[in-house]
Amino acid sequence: MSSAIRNIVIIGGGSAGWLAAGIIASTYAPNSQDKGLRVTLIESPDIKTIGVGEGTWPSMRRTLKRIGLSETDFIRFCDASFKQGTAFYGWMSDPSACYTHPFMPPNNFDALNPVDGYLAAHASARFDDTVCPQVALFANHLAPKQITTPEYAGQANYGYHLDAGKFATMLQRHCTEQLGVQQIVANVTEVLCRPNGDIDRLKTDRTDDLEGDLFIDCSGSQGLLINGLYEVGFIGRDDVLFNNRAIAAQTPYLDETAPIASCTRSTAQSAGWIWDIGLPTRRGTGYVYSAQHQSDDAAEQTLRQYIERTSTSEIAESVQTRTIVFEPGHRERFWHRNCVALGMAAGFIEPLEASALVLVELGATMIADELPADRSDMDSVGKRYNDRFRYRWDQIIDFLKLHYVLSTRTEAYWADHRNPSSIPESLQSLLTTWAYRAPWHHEGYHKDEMFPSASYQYVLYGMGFRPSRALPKHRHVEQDLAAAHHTFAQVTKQANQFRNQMPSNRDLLETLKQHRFQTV
Amino acid sequence: MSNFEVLDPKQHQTLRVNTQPGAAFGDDVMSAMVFPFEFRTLQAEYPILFRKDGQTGQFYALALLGLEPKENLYLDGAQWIARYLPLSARRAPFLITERKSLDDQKPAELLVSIDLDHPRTQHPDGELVFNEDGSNSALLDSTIECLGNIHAGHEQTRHYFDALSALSLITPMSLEVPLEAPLELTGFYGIDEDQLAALSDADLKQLQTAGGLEPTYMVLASLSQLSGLIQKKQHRILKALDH
Repeated sequence: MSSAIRNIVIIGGGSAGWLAAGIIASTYAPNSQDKGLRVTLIESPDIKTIGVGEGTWPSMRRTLKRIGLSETDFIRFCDASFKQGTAFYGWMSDPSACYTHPFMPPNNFDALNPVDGYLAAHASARFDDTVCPQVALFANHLAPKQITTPEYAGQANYGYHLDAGKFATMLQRHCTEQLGVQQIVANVTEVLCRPNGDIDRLKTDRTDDLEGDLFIDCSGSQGLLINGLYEVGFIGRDDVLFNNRAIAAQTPYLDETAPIASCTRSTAQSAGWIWDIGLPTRRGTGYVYSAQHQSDDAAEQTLRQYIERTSTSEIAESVQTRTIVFEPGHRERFWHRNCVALGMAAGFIEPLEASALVLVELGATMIADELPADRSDMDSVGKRYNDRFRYRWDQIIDFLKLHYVLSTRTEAYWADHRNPSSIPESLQSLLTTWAYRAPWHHEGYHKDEMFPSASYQYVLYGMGFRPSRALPKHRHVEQDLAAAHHTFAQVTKQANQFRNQMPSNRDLLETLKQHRFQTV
Repeated sequence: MSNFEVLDPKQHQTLRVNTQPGAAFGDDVMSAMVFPFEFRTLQAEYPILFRKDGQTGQFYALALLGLEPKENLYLDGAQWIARYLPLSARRAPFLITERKSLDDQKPAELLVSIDLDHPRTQHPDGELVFNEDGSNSALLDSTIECLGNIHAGHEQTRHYFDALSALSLITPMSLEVPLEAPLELTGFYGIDEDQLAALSDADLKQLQTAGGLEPTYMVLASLSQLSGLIQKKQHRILKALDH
């Protein structure tokens, strides 16, 4: 028996659930008279969403545009600001060393691999600002665009810092008012299955039964369906990435003119690292660490010391903290029968490269774009989904691990991170290749690559990685070096233009309170 | 620098203002801000384009007067050769300002100020701002009317561009000027003609009700003045070669 997919039921009303609802509903006009898709979201009245500051990837611009939100409304409502990458402090044994991972690739990256030119003539300078002018923007707290730039466009590539609680609320309003998503506030009391094992309907404590053809589990780490019902196995990855606790605090600005950082700041500590993201009204700060390597009390003290260093002792003593316990890892499969898990129900890993929301965007986009026409094709779509997302999780874990493997810090936590038994084979083999050939376009064999080779370069050469084996001398070495020299000079010029032209992050956000970005 | 004072018959009794066109009086500008109610008259003389305000990012309309910064091709010595001058080009050295009442219920008061440091001000050849008996001169009366229209024009501009944006009728426009040394003008916007042609009956009605239909066709018609502007530029280049 094969039945058409007409009813999608999403369980969970956090940012994952509403983002998925928005992406799917904006793809299939659910209000139309014909047999359009129906999207229903059920959320518990008993679970409050918490306003965590969170970072996104540049992909969020495309996602918001697709959903049909105006960028100005989004920024105003979600207490959002512009993020242009991540800056890493204290990740090397030299405490003054800093490197960054900008969202823009090195200039001229399609035609030129900058690494040889950098190592030959500029190795005493920093890699990031030698090859990419965007560093000049966030080093000076400047915005990636001007008020005259159309919405969702930028002179430099950017994503956002946002308040995840407000984000969920805005998506909920847009989904229910504009996209025809039906919202049900109730608790799921029972899940009823068909004889073949598919989910048939949900019983709730205050509405009629909810029937569906496809169920999306966004119920958080409990995984009401993927785990509670189907008991799909969980693959713990704490053998690779040790961090399993976070302690978070909202840190106020000292005054209304304090700069708003336009990149995420990540500062390494003895058993983890502290995030610091600038929202328009406050900073979101938090320490993510390994409970095997540091006690909760010591971790709290570490966070308060950081806040004291970057704010005042009064604020450091008085901020409220909240501890989040998590198990790093992901499901064995994400799509099982007629159920897909998204967000924390699918898995969770430390937010070092802000991969949580982007995985929801990618997952919901694939569900929307490759939605099976009926049940008969669902298993093969599900298989493709599982293969693709397992690959993506592995890639994210490898890329995060790279930051730790290259560190020269000496504490036990950091030494343990360099223990070969904790390094996935896939990452080890890349490191072996990179020892003589810098990453460029060779690795891009997979269309589902999470990180472009530029990202690997920023981390590798930012953290002082040097080739340990030599290739035979390249025939065009002189030409390549000349091209690199020319490109780096352009970077310097463009960085100066950026410094002169672009408004500060705070000034642009202030202007946006009064005025709007145009659509063209 | 500017030095604005609110006009006062006692204080400014002997004040004179020169109203002649001229580069020395600040008329050497590449464009002038214009308002939708002017479009019908303007389109017979000037190309009308749109641009974003650098401070606010909001759209405004302008009459293109030249093809390079500080070039006004309509200006020939002390003559502005056109049958109609944009209101904003007739404003200086006067300015209209709003004084908000402390009482929120009362409307803001409109005041006329004058820039005492403007090259048009206190010119011996100028016209008096006030008559001897302290009453408004003909110049001041016409200025007040002009300023009032400009004030209303700003409001009309906001409504007009809201209507255009709502229907996605604005599109970026870059102009390539075919001269011996070709010029490219960037940062301008115009009407998206394909989008306009594809508007539904309901959307057209919406644009008309918002008062946006006529100005939109006037903007399209005005573009035929571009060739005239380029011709003026060519004449000027030739004239420069003659000398």
